[in-house]
Amino acid sequence: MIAEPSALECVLLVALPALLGVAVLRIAGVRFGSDQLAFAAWTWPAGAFVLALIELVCLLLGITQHYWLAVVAVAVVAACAFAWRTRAATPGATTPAPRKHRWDDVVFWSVVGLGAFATVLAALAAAAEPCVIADEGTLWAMKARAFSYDWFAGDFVRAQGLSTHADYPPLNPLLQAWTHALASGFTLFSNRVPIQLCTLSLWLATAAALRRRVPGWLAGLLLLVLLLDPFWHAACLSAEADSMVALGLVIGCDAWLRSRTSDDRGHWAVASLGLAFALWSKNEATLYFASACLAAGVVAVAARRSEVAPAAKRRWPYWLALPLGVVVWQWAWNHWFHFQNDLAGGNPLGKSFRELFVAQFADRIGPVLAEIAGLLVRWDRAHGVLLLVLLAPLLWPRVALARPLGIVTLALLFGLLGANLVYVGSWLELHYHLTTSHARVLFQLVPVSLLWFAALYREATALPRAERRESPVVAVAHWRHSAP
Amino acid sequence: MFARPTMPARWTFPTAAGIAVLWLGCRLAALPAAWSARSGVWSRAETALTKPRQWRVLASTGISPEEVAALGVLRPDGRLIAYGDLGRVPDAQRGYAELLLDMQHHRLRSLLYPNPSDTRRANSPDELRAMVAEPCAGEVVVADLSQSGEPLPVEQFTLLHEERHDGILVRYWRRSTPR
Repeated sequence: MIAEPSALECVLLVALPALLGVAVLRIAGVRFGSDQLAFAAWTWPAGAFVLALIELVCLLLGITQHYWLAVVAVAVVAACAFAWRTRAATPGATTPAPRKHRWDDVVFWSVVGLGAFATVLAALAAAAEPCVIADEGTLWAMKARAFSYDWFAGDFVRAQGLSTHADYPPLNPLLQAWTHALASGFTLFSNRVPIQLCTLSLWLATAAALRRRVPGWLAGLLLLVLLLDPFWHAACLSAEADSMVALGLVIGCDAWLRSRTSDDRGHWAVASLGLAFALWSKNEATLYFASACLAAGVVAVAARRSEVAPAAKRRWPYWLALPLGVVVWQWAWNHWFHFQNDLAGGNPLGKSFRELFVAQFADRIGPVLAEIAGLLVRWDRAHGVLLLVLLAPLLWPRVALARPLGIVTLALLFGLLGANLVYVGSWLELHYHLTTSHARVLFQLVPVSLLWFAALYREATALPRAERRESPVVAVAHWRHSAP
Repeated sequence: MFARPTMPARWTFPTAAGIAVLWLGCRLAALPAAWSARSGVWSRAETALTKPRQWRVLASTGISPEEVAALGVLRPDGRLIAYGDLGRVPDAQRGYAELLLDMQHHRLRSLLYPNPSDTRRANSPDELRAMVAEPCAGEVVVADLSQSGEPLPVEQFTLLHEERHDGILVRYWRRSTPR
């Protein structure tokens, strides 16, 4: 039955996950007062992630959608009660924010307000059309209906087998299924709302991350780069998961960089949550996560080889347990249901990625390189910031490759490389695959690249002149020595 | 890996910043054009706020409330087949006809799922016969986009509903004796 939530249900649709998010952040040790904009930006993804976890547990326990509202309401009350009893974390030795001027704040907040308004307006405009066309309708919304209906009808595997991407992670569809539970039917319009709130959170999270590192005028300019890209407008209009990946990456990277300077346990938790959020949104995030792990390994090996630095105390990154858990869970989920990725062999050709990559490399590498080169210099796209990622190790190696920023630089480089190499080994016709997804997929990396650039700028301008001239090896060593 | 020669940051950073400002200037100069291109966002927002759900579905997909009501006979155990005899379409128009058929199939599926959960596309009478012959516990409805005005090439189906939207005729046929 087609239905839409009532006004009260619309309030619950947003308010319950938001309350969950506030409670989760407080329990994790994040203080509202330390960065109000960041707290506001992180609230929705935190709540949405926990909401999806609750829904997943309900599915596994066979609790039908009629009871989801009650279950979530109980969870909200319990989380809020626990958060209320949790003592607020003591302020850590946070990095001092950039010097603020009144005009600087006016520029920054004007751009933030403009972007938020444009995002909400576009999201509202999307409701002129039902969510039945393109990937948002035929892929994501259909997966949501599979959770709402097929799961309980015992037809989940067969129905997903007809889907083009049965292996995609379920965070997006689970959030859409929340609207089905509230409306007691299948929604055509309001199922976009939870995803569009992720896009709004992405805007606020990027703004908070930039403002923390660069002056307001520069943060405003960088935000305009994002806002003026046509893909931003498209992200606001649709219920696809690309902006969710971008949101998770921005939150994960921002919180991780914050944790390196303040050792605030709340930031470790948020970094963990951000990465897990991205990994549970779409498969590309697994590639970016693997890139980040590889980058961390490269930087660690390079730092260990330098004789300048003393041996640093080893700390096992427990915070990685959640993102790693999501990776393992998703693998087990697909393995259990026999869902296979089309690039990994689950395609009509029946060939693995490696086979296709080797066979097609000579023919495809040229067109793929030409596509990325053309994209990076297009003046009407924001992808130009990725060109800076490519050039930074050559132009500013002392800053770009020093820890912890070096890990982000290399992770972005590896991620960019990997995302392009996917097209070499793709089973789809190259022109079709490039046209339909290349720029859109790489746009996932644009917001986190803007954050990276802001961090690069901050590091470059914060270092004393003498230190800037030091060899990068010395810079790495200093980071090792001073890192908490 | 870190000890390669570097370009002086004191001029590369301002150069990069200059290029960025130039780029942004170009983008901002093109803002009026971009805004006018997106001005539809205002009218679409107004549509979203003022028009009823059925009106927006019809305007976007071409599927009327009457069609949705007629297809209400379908339950999850039923089957909906989008049919068009592409072999009778002239070569020059076949690509468009196939696209139309595919879009209608996906729109109906996305709109109605899981009522029915089984939706298919038949491009020829033979494909249609084979799909109709397969066992089905519930109702079978055929969305006929063949534009021929002739009866279906399979027996036991009666006309359920007929709709013409933007010059495209869609006739819905229901199996009169469900198995």
